[in-house]
Amino acid sequence: MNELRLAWEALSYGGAMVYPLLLLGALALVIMLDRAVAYWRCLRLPEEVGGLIETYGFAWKDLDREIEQLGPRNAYGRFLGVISSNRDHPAWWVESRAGDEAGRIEKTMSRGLWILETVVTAAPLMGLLGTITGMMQAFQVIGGSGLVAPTRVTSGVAQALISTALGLLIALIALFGFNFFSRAQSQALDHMERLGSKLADHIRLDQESGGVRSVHPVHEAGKDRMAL
Amino acid sequence: MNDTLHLPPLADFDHPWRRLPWVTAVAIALWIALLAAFTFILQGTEPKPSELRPLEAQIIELPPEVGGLAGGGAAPAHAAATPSKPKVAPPPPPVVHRKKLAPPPLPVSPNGTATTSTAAPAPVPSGAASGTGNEGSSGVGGSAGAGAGTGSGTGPGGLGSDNLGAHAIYAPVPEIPDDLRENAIQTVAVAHFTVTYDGVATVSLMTKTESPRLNQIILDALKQWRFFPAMKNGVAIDSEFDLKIPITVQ
Repeated sequence: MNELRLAWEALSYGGAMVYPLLLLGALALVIMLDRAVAYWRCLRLPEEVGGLIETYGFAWKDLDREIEQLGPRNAYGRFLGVISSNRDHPAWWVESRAGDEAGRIEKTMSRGLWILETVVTAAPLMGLLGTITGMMQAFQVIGGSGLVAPTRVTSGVAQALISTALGLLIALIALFGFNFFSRAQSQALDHMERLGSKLADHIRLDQESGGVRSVHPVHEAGKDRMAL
Repeated sequence: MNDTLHLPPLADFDHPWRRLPWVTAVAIALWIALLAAFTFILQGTEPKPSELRPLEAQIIELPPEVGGLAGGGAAPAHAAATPSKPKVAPPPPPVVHRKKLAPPPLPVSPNGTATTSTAAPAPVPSGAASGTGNEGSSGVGGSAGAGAGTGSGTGPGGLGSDNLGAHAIYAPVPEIPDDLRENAIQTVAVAHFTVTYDGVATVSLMTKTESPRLNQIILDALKQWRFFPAMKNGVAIDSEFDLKIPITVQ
């Protein structure tokens, strides 16, 4: 507790801008933790499902069973389920519905990322503002009286720099988080698009062959190529 | 149409508000830990504060205005040289009477005769000014200030002579607290002493500093000073003098 008290005293030297900066930092961490939990729950694709779709021939019943095992909150399950449940419709219609579902998934998964992006930009600016106000107060020491202890001025400037340092720390944390989740989301959507294209090809092939396409067993070789 | 799959509405796809309480708690705990580490790094790079330098102050005598009876100057007795405490350096601080007072009735000894004490004065501060005497027009050359204590005794106003200015036998220095050291101070205070023939001293600040608190600290210290009265022809007399006290806080 003594370390926490000392930490608070050191941060409080930074002036009034430290408090909104601390709030921004906490907000960024909340969003990052929330997105981590959401991505961990919703963007997991078992290798069995990926391997099944990557094969040249598979049974739709096998795919339906795998999709049901993914659960209703899995983004891949929702996306693949839209295609599989509408496989009797024309391929163009299925592709349209799949694209629409992918868009909604993207919107859901990117929830709060705009706040992270804002924090990346705003935190250094707020820190800089706090430093400027702190330095103005420090230099007022010079204007206040004729004789000034130099250590008083320099210590005031050093304390004012705390807010900038804190703003940069928050921006760095939020930047890493934003880039990580943005990339994870982009990779997941690319993966969905590729799997959706394969399933649409299967639908076209089934419709061209009159629904009598032979069903091949799942190739085990396809398992190793699937990964989120 | 395959109806075996049931897709929940999009609102049920993700529930951020349900996990918000525990996510917030974990995030705040993580944030506190990060801040503690951050401030630890900051404190690790922070230079150690330099040790406070001792306060430098001087007591300088005023030039004689009226050639009267030389009063005994007061000098700090022993400037305690504690490195961390403000102190008043004790340079030679002889003080000269500005005005001569009429000799009071001679102190009468128990047997009814006038006291003509020639006894050596009380302990005198070390490091005091010269004791060669600072004779005024009155010819009563009391040694200048604290110099009375170390006077050679060869002059008329030297130690052991019958003519001697009032001089301090106990002169504690004012201790200026650290909070007053936050502001650099360079000022001068002038204290006016009146020492009666029986050694009773009264002091007032003729010229004050800008800080009322500093004035009070100086005045409190000066009120503790004790004097050996001025002597004229071996007789204790009243005297008064000024002390110029430059204060420099850097």
